[in-house]
Amino acid sequence: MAAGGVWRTGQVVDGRYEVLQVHESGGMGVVYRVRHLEWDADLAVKCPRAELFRTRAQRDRFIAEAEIWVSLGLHPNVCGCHYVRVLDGIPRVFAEYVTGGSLRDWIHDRRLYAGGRAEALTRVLDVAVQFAWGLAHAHDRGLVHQDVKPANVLMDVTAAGAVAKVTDFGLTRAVTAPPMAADAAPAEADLVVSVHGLTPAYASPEQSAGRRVDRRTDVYSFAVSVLEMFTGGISWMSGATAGAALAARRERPEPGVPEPPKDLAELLARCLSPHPAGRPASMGEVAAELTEIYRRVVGTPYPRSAPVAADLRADELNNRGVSLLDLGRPDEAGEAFAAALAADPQHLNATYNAGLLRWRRGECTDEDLLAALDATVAGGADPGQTRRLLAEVHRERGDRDQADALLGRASTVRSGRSDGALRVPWYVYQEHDETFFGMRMRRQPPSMHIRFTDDGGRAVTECDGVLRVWDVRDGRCLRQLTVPAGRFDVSGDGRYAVTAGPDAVHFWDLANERRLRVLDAPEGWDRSLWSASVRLSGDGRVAVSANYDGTVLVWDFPDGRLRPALDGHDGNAIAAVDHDGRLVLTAGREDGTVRLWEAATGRCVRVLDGRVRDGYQGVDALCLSADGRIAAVAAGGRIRVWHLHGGHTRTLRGHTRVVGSLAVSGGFLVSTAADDTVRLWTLDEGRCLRTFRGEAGPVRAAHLDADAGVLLSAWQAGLLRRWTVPPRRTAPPRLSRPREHAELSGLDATVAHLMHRARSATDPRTALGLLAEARAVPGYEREPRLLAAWRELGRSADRIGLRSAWSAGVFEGDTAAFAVDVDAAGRIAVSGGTGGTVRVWDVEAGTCLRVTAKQLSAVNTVEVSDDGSRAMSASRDGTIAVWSIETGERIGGLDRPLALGATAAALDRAGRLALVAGADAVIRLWNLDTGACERELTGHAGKVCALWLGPGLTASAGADRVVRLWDPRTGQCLRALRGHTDQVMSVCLSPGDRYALSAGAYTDRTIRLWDTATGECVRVFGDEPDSPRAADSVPKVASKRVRFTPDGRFAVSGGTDATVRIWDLATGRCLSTLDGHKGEVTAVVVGADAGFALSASMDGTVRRWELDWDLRVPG
Amino acid sequence: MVVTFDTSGLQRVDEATWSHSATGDWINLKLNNTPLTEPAWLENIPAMRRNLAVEYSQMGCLIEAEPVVLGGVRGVCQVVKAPIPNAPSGQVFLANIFLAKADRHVMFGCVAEERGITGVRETTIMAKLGLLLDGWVLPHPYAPELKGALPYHRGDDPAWDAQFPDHPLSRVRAWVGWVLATAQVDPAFAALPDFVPGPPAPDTASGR
Repeated sequence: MAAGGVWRTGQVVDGRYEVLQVHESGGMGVVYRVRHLEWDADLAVKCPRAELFRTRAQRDRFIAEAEIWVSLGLHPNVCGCHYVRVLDGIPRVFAEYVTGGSLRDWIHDRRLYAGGRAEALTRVLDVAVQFAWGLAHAHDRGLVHQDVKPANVLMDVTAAGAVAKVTDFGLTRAVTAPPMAADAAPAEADLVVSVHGLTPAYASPEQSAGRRVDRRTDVYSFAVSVLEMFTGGISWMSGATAGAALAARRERPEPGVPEPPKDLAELLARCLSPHPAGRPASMGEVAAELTEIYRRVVGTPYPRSAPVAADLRADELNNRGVSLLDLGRPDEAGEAFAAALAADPQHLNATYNAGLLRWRRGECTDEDLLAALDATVAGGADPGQTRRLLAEVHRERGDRDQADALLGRASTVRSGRSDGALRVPWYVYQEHDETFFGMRMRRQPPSMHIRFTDDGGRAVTECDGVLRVWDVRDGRCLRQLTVPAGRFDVSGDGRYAVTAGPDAVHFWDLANERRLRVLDAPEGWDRSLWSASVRLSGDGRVAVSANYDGTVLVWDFPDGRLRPALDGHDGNAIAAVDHDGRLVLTAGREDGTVRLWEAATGRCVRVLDGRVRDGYQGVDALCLSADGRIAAVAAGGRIRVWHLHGGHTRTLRGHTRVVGSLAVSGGFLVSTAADDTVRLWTLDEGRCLRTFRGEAGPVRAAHLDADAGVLLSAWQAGLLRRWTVPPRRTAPPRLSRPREHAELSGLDATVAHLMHRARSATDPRTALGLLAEARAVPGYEREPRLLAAWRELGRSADRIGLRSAWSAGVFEGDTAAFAVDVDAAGRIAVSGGTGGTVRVWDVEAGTCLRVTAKQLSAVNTVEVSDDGSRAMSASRDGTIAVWSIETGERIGGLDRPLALGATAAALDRAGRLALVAGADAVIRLWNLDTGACERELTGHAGKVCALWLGPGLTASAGADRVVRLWDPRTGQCLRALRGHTDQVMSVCLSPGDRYALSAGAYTDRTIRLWDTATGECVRVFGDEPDSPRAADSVPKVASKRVRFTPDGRFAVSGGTDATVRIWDLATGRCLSTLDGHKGEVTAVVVGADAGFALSASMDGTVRRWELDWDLRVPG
Repeated sequence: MVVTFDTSGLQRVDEATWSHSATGDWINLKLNNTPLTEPAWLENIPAMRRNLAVEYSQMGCLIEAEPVVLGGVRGVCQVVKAPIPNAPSGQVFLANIFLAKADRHVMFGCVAEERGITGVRETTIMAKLGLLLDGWVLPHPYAPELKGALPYHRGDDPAWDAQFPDHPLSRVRAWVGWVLATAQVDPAFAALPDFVPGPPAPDTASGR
């Protein structure tokens, strides 16, 4: 880059812009002609001069104006601003490059007047009309140009004549100081260039006087500019005197320049009124008069149709988002990306840019973004482009190996000697069976605790009462001591340890393998309620014991002198201590607070709100940075970080299960959780920079040395992983190739025409072909109106395959969701889960409309009545309730919970019947109107896991591996379908009851399709190659819920691997695997026209998936 | 004896007491030659139940008080739970059948206590129903405002007995069902005038 942000011809900027030409642009800045090397397209780059860009106010104003221009959209008479990028610290406007020069050039070199007076007059009027249209468009979008002049009108020479395009919206004004004093005389050269935000020769009187201006100042300047077209140049010092020039022009014609027609002169005279109120109210009005003048003067109607701004497509909206992002407007950028994704939900660049923005704001994790990008390939995105963007994300998350692998390169940066895995036998454990309560069961691996020393050179583990010290470099066990089993902690240098036994705290000298002290419960303390966990300060001078009754004791180490007790919590307490032992951070399981104490005095210096997540009062883990400046606590998988000196907090979302450990180093926080992940968070942004997954099993601890860039993690299965944390890198945003108005409006017209023909077609097959053709137009594959027309046609067509499927919304609940249903119109959904409430959702908006009163136990089953007025729910404790969707009030159900609870339930959509299986494995049919049990269905030999209540048949599935079909009128078991090899977790019937689908669980991962008439198993989705991500694969995990599409041709399943799968029942092929959930999928439901599916998950969300089907017209 | 029943499988401990060798449950039979002191009996079942619930709340919890008929004599079966006296944990369950006449009454019943690991029925049912204390403890069905020594809860429902046939509560209920179906009452006792509640008399045997 050249000094001061100045570019030279031939230079390649940012690796993609080759500078072809440099145009000086008056005093305000420089215009470059560049070629985008990837797009092979020429662009104009407008750059303000650095010296005019020094103050923050100048910069902010420029950015604001550029933002407005970016938002103007595409209009044939406005020079399109494609995007803005900040390069070399200067925002640069990338605009349409127009080759014909400016109107000022055309006036000066007399191109405007070629062909004689009549032709010249026609041309001038044509330019004036287009000029007016361009300004009218800007005004319609709330933008006043304020520097209207021929130099800011570009002339594009086309086959249809010269097209005038207004340019430089606001930019000159944006980089100037306040207007000059009225008595200051401008230099002659300044008459036609912008000075202090205006060009004197064209400025309106109010603008020259520095008064407030509105769009009528542009009307004035427009008239001066048109006047100049009739004078062949300016002869006035200031715009305010141009009116006199008009009068003079009418008296003294200019050779070779057409005279202004009388009507036009009158119009210009009104436009040049010194008082804004005397001018035409709008440029639209001026344009209309001009076209009429054209008709009268030329003798033919004005040949151009009034232009319509082109609807921006996903590409343009994406570019607008990138511009806004670069301009420091992240919220508006997010809205632009959302608009791009609304136009095309699978748009690769918008998915990438929106995902980057959300990721950097901590709104999603690195894995979420990677999954979203992966999913675009199924939606038709170019796999090569997708790989490139995935590589960018991997680089930003610090995984250069993955990035290189995606790009097919040899790793550019070797992982280094610190990367890799080391087998460390943390504990000795022999698998064996044991007897528990009369049952034989496999012994679970023992619990293990682990701590790293400050330098990460040693790890200390405790397991089954043995403390072991490990050399982390080679995995050797250096020494071991027998200690009371339980929690422990070590000093930063690994020399000392403190352990919590059942009734005493023990101090240890690990270096000399000896116990230093045993501290019993202080006198008067309940021995059974103390010492739940212990901590030792990094310097090994202060030991802390957090107790079951909420108190925390602090001792000097090693002499055991007891300091004042810290008493402020209810329930089991946990604690952390800073390196010097000055501060102690504590939390109680039941009081919802986190407290910071002075260890020396026992004084509580801060009380923080520890309710990190609704419904999770208890804190699972906490930590205090070595310097005591940052505190972090985790509850329910969420982490909250306090900057204790700055006072601000952040909530980190990403873990899906209980967080086990937290540690802060440098600007990072590292956490481990029961979701078997280690996550690295940036404290400045609050985002999950990188998620690490080991091979298998739980991770017990992690250690981060941010300075050294090394992350260690200890996995219970005997693994120590090292990862290098590379320097931070920022992935660049991704722009789409910009299109001009003509191209875009041309595509739009093509699609509109095809859609019109499809609507008019009498033959559905023809209509389908036309819509398919329209969908093939680039950028229109998932255009909302086109998609709606496609779906409308789909109601009378057969679905023959899945074109694509994508995530179209996340409904954020509070706790794990177990059930979901949707009404017949697909507008209202209800969900239920562990929170005990039923939530009512607006399917389209994804907003929660209602939350019912909390039930005493988890809601396992929900149904919505067909008319969307009522919701029915069954809770695990046997509560059956009917709810008003309108009010959220309970309006019916059974008066009392069913004694034996509800292991499974199915509710009819009229809200009158409930089929419920109790703990006795008997299925009972309850009449909700009378409260009477109408039928008992007996036959299952174990827990009933799933029920289906159809109008003709009832189906049940049980832990006895059997699917049963029942006659609901008699209660007779019609068929027992056998074939599953483990519990059957889900069952449903096809429309018309011809087929049943069932899903196995645990060791039986299959889905089975049954013929209900014969009881024959028609297909087992399990005889395909077992490749987890291949299209034909069988899920490696149990499918928990499965449902037919309304036509019975396809099925949707949700599994414990957190995915949703779409199946073709005719072939048994898995058509799509949809990632997005962070916890197992517990329920799925398909909308009435199969346009979408909803899935409920343990991660607390309900997701909406759009399903885009291939269609065939029958017959 | 006023009431006779099959004692096979039982070990006689004394004149009025038997024990079950396998379970250790006790069977008692006692004739009291005094009238019951209950202020309400079968003529006002809700009042009787409420009174009993209040009385038993001092030492444990009345689970149910159901009218029964044995040998043509109307009576009341009371199922009660209480902490095992002098034990750190565990509960004892009692099912007593009272046959009351005007001037005397007979009480016979079964006592079964938890042994080994206690609370398994309760924790299992809590888990099956997905309940915490909030939904687990119910207002007493006979006296909703009552707070007794032990709470009335979802696991006390007889519907669960089939799931936990070896639990002492299930055993005492099963014994009630068996004894009502098989025991016989001395016709002379049956012919006596029925008990009618009157004002309580001091220093007389309790109805419990």
